[in-house]
Amino acid sequence: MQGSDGRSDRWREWMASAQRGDALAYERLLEDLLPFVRGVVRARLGDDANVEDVVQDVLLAIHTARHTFQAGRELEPWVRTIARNAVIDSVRRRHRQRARDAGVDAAELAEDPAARASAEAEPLPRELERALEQLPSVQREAVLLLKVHGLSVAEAATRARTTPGALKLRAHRGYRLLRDLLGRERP
Amino acid sequence: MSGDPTRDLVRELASDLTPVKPLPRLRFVALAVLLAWLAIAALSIVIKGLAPTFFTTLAQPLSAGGIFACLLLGGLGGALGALALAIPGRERLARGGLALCAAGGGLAVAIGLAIALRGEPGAWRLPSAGDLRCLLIALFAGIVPALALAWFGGRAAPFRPLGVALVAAAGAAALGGAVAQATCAGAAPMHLLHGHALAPALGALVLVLPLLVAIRASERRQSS
Repeated sequence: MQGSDGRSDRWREWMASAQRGDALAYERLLEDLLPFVRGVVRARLGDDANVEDVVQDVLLAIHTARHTFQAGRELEPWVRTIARNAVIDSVRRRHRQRARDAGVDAAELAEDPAARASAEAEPLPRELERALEQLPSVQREAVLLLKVHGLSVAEAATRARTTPGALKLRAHRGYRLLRDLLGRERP
Repeated sequence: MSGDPTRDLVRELASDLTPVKPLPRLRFVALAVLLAWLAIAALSIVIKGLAPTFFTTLAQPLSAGGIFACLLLGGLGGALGALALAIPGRERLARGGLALCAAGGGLAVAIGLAIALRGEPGAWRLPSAGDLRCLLIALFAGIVPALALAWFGGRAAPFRPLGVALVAAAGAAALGGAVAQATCAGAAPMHLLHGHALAPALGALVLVLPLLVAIRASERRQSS
C-alpha cells in the first residue's frame, strides 16, 4: 500500500514538473509508467501482437493531453482512461484497415482494372495535397506512408529508415500541423 | 537509438517537451458556469420580473416550481457531466452528471405531462408562438454557459467531442429553461410542457452542432 502511495506521489510530482517543461522528470515518468500502461493495454488486447504499438500510441496521447492533468489528482485513473481510449482507437483503426484490405482483395479478385485502381489509389483532395506539401519532408513521408499507402508502423519505419517510435512521433507532429493548415484554409 | 522502439519514443517525447498551461480546475470552471447562469437569471428577472407564482409553486412537486427545480438540477448535472467528460480520469463524475442531467430533464417532461394530463381534455395542442418564444428565451439564456463549456471542452481536446457537445447543449438549455420557467407568467399546462420542460431536448438538438464546431475551433486554437 505504501509502495503504491509512494508511486502515486512520485507520478504526480513528475507530471507537475513535466507540465512546467522539466524533460528529465518527464522521461522518468514515462519510463515508470511503461509497465502500468502495458498492463492496461494487455488486459484489453490480450497477447495481441500490436500491444507495443498501442503502448506507443498511449505515450503519444499522454504527450498530447498532458495539459489536462490537474495537479493534486491521481495520475493513475487519468492514464488508465487515456490507455483505454487508445485501445478503442486502435481496434477501430484495425477494423477500418481490414475493411479496406477486403475492398482491395475483392477488386483484385474481380480482376477489374478500374475498380482496382479506384480501391488502391483514391486521388487526394487538392486542399489536402497543398497542406501536405507544406509539411517538413520527414513528417510528410510519415503521414503518406501510414495514411495514404496504408503501411503498418513497422513497415513504414523500415521504409523511412527510422525507428517505429520516431516514425510515430513524426506522423503525430505531421497530423497536428495538417489539422492546423486545413483549419486555416477552411474559413 | 536503443533498439527498443518504445524507449526510443520515450526519449523523443522528452526531447519534444515544452511547458504547458494546465487546464483550470474543474470545480472553478463549474463555479464560473454557475455564476454566469446566475448573472443571466438575475438580468432576466430585472427585465421580465419573477413569475408571480414562483415561490408558492416551489414547494409543490407537480407544478411550475417542480419543473423549475428539475430543469435546474438537470442543467447543473449536464454542465458537470460535460466538463468531466472532456478530461480523462473523471468518469465517475461524468456518469453522475449525465445521470443527473437525464433525470432532471426527464422528470421535467414527466411533470409537464402529468400537469397536462390533469388539465382540460381538449387542452392538448401543438406548440404555439408563445411556447416557441419561451423556448428561444431558454436557448438564449443557455448560450453563455454553453460557450463556457465549449471553451473548456476545446481546451481539453476530448476523446469524444460529440458526446461533450451533446451533454453541454442539453445542460445549457436546461439551465436556460430554468430561467424561462422562473420569469414566465404563463401557467397553461401545455405551455409549461412545450415552452419550458422540453427546453433540454430542444437544446440538445439545436445547440449540439454549433457547440461541436466551437469545441473544434477552440481545440485548433489550443494546438496552434
